[in-house]
Amino acid sequence: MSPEITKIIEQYLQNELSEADRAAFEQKLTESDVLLNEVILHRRLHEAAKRAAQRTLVQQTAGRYHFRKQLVTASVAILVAAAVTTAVVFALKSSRSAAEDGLSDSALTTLTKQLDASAPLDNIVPEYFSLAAKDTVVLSGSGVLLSVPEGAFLLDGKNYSGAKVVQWQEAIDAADIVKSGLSTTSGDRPLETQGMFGMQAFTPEGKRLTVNPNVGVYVQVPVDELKPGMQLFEGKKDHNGLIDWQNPQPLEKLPVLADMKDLDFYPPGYESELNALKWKTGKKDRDSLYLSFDEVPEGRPQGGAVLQHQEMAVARNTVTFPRMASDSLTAKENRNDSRSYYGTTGLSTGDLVSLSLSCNLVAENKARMVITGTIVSARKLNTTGPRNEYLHLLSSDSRITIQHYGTEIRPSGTVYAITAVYDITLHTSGDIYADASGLIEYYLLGSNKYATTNWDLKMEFLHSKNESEMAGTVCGIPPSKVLAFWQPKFNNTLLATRDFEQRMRSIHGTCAQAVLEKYTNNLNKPLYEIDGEVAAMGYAGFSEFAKERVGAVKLDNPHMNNLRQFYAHAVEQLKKAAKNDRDFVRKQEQAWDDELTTARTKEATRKVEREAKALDEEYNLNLRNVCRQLGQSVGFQIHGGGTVYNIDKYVMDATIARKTTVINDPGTGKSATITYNTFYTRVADFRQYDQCFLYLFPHELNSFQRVDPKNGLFDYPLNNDIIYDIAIVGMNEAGYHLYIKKGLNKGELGTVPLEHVSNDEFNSRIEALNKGRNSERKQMKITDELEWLLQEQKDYKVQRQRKESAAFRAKIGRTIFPCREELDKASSDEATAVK
Amino acid sequence: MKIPLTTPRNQDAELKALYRKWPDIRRFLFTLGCTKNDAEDVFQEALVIYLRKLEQPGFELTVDPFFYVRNTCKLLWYNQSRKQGKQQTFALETDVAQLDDDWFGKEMQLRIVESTLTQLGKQCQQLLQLFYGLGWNMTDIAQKLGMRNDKVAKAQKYRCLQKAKELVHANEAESNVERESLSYES
Repeated sequence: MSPEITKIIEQYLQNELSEADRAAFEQKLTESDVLLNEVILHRRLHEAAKRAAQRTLVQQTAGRYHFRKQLVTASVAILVAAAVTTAVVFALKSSRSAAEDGLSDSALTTLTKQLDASAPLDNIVPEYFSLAAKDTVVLSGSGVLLSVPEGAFLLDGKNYSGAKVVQWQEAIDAADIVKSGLSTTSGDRPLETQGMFGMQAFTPEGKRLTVNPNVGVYVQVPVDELKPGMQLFEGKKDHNGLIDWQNPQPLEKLPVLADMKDLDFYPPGYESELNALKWKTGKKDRDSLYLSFDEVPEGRPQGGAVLQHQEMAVARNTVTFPRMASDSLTAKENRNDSRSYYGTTGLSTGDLVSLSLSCNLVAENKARMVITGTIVSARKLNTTGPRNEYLHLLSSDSRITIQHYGTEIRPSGTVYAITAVYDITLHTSGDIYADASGLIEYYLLGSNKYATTNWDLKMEFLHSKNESEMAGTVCGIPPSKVLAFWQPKFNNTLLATRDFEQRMRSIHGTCAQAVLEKYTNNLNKPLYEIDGEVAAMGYAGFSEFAKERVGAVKLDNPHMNNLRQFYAHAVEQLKKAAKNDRDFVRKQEQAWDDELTTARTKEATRKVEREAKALDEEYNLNLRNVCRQLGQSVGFQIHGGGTVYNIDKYVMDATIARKTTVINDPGTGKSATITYNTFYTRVADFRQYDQCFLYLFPHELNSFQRVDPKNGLFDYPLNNDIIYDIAIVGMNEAGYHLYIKKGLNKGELGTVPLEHVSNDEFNSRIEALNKGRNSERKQMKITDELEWLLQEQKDYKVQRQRKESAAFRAKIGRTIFPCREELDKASSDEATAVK
Repeated sequence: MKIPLTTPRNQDAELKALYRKWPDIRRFLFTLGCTKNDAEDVFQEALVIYLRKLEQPGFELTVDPFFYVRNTCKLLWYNQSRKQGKQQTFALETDVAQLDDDWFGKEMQLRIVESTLTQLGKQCQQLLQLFYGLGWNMTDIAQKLGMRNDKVAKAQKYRCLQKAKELVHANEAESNVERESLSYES
């Protein structure tokens, strides 16, 4: 098809044809299949182009996704090259290239002979460097580094870019200075010197080149000691041939650029600590570990007394629980009744939270009390510890004291009068924390003993400035702010220099984000200026850096603005990534804890049910036994006890007390006995098991029972009329340990050793024991029990790992936030003082 | 005028959310025997199909977008591995197989045309995508691509279309030759 037809088809499809043309075209279409096919293809091309655009969108998304991943990855840092080594490499290269395309050796010799005569310093043998057009860096014999940038020299006032010969003289030590007859005076003032130099440059033809004042030649001189106030003087020969030093200029050192991947910005001690622990060595792993510490360090603002309540209260969030229906709390005598609340309230992550709990009793006598919690950070409430932080309120006379177990909530409130009858217990389950969305989730369980009254519960959060407002005062450099610039994008900036690397170590020491920001926000300032500003902020150590007078890395403004935006964005991204990871871990821990709590609650319920059933069964057995012995009589007397009118109650009491009792029936003279035999046993090496239980499987009953030890001793009287199989289970992280003995109804087993068994074996042996006791009966199911035991067993490992991980993080955290330890110490001192 | 079901802005966010599931999809594709090199292509194709399906009038999504994309991935990989003559180690569930309808078949043909477009010059590709994909007008396109005015851009559009057509015809001829030679051999 010709291009012309393509054009017409396109116009047709875009509705750009005139009415007449259109009709004509459509007529043609009906006549020609070829044309029709062409239009169809054309339409397809439109659709395909659209599809391509959609693919581009998908690919852009992919790019952004992978980019985010790379941010965290960054690169490996190996400390190798110091500035001088780099220079030597350059110098070697330049001398080789000089031989290739610079002057030949013989030409150089002839030239240098001529030039020797014009050397500015007498009696000092000049060095010559032959530089080809593109060469830039040379190193002199005594380690002086000369850098000749493009356009550094002028020939007759015009830029010169060809090959050149540099004549270099240096008098650094005293002997050289004396030999050359150099003076060290500026006008009348004596000078202290760290070296004198002479430099001239020539074209290969011997024409003199002058230094372009706008570009300059950079000279770096090795010194043993940096003396403050050193300046550069220009030597002017007077008519006597003496040199007077004039025109002093402050010295400026160029920052030594290095590749980001060779630099190390970790806090001092971070890597060595990890190496000592033989932790993974990959930069990727270490970066992500470092990033995982990215949170507002839990410290109080610097220079800080404990925050005052009023100061903190910038926002207020009150959650008032609905008053409880009175019937729900009209509890029966001696029974606890409890209620739980669960909800969320909007707070920002990292907020300091003041939690205040208040409980108003609306009783007949209008008793009232107020409990106040204390200032805790949201995060601290969600420490990895077990969820057993309780806020207890116990009544004693008309005073209430708050007791606290667990880690964080420190009582500081006052509690007002309440009548002694009320025994109120309020405990938080330690579940108050800011979740991923910055919400505080709380769980409150209140229980009311003996109460026949209504009560209201109120929970109030007061919270203070959020993270960003605190940023200036909170101590510690957030890892995200470091990792965000530690990437190739920031190569060739002030941050990718050995000089900044050195400063970074001190910045970690200051624990002040504001100091780091000084550097990251001023990428085009000379380093010594920033050093000075930081020193003025009160970090005196930085004045040492300022003295080095390290200059700027040239950076054009658009590029710098670009980088600044990029940096801010990267910090955000990293923070988000760190938060996601943290939330993920937190959720998993939460899930495990919840699961375990549920299992424990279920087990507690089962135990109660089991005991009730066992009691019932045993009571029936005893009752049948007594009735048989007494011959179904009803009137009887208790031997050694008071008169009992009810045989049922009597047997029940004996069964509950598990004590041998003899019953005489005065009517028939018959007596009946319920016999309980003593039974004791101990477990060898009791302490090595975290939990130990004795299970009883009575042959005559369907149920089984769990007996808990007291100080390693199992003491449980056995019914003489029942044959028991027993199993003692010890659990620790290593697994299950088991002892089984069959066919008992009394005795002292003494100390028995447990034998380590596998999971499967444990399950099958316990199940066999449960089933094997009496095949005619329907045994109580034991699978739930076994599942619970398995979960408890697994929990040991989980708890140990959490402890280890917490210890590890505490250790590494100290290197990342060196100031935090001092603060922690300070706050714990404070706490002791309060006590 | 047809109103798109999702505005481009929503599309952006949705794509981003779906892309975050990439590790899941990758794992899923690996279990089906998909190689590292193929997996991301399959995933991206599935996302393209998802975007296009959303634009179909009368289409209503009955499952979570993630499952739609995952099923599409499975189907795409099933077809591709069959074409490559690989042993099929898995079967398609009915709900996945149902995706393979007329529309899907046309999409697969369109995909071939789309890949032909990549043989065009960079500028042509950009121009066609901006015009037919994003609906830009010729003046804006001219400015974006550094052309003097919309007339130049329009003339260029005709040239690009012509070139694209020639490429499609050439490819068709080539595959016809292949087909013929195959049938001749057999």
